[in-house]
Amino acid sequence: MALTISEHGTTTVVHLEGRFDAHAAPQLSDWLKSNVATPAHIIVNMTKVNFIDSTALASLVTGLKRCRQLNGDLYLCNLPDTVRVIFELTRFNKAFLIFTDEHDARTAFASN
Amino acid sequence: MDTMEVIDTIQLHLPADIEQIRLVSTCVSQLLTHVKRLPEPEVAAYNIQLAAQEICVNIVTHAYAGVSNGTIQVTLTLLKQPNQLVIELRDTGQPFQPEAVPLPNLEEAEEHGYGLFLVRELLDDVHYEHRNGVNYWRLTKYLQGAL
Repeated sequence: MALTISEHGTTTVVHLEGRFDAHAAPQLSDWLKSNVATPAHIIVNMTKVNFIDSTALASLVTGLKRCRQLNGDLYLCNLPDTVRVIFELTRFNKAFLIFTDEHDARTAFASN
Repeated sequence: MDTMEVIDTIQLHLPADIEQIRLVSTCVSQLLTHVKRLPEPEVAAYNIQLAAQEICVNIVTHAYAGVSNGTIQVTLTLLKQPNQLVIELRDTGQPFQPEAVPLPNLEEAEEHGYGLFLVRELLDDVHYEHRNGVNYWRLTKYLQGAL
């Protein structure tokens, strides 16, 4: 999996690409552990994720909790249809704020 | 399975390594290329790949916890009448204890417990048994479309 970062004011966008699974999940966990600080405004853009498993989902939940502890949030955007189904099955779609595209997610942080 | 027609089968002998198990996904895609007019082929493939991935991760992280040289034997079989993909996995790690895996609380996002839940949601049949020191999983997904 490839992980690239872009900064937009106080918001950080994490772009994931490829297979986001138990092998790749520590990449995101390690990055979040090392880089999330107040204000924790993180967007994970999943437009190029072609696979996600429960270990990867868990790393997102850990990130969500960490961001909220730091008075911020972790938003998701651009979920492929196959990935969206898994969020619905696990009801993680209720836990995360999920946006259709990155622009909407960034706008939501900007208006907070 | 004896009376059903085998269309194709793939056998893998994998090290119990979290990086290697993705090969199972590749094999699922390969076998599904035989199925004509499979509805939503990407979703069908992904659901089976994810279920197999969850069992493999379970084997690597739980059955073989603390073991460095474990192996997983995987047999993927595409069968006709009824059309189905069957994935059998065998390992010699610690026995799985279904009663030790509670259903996740879907009202609150948690960090553990979704793997087997997803497997059961995504497949038509999930069978597990432990016999003579071997853990045996048989995962079945019935397929629409033609073979």
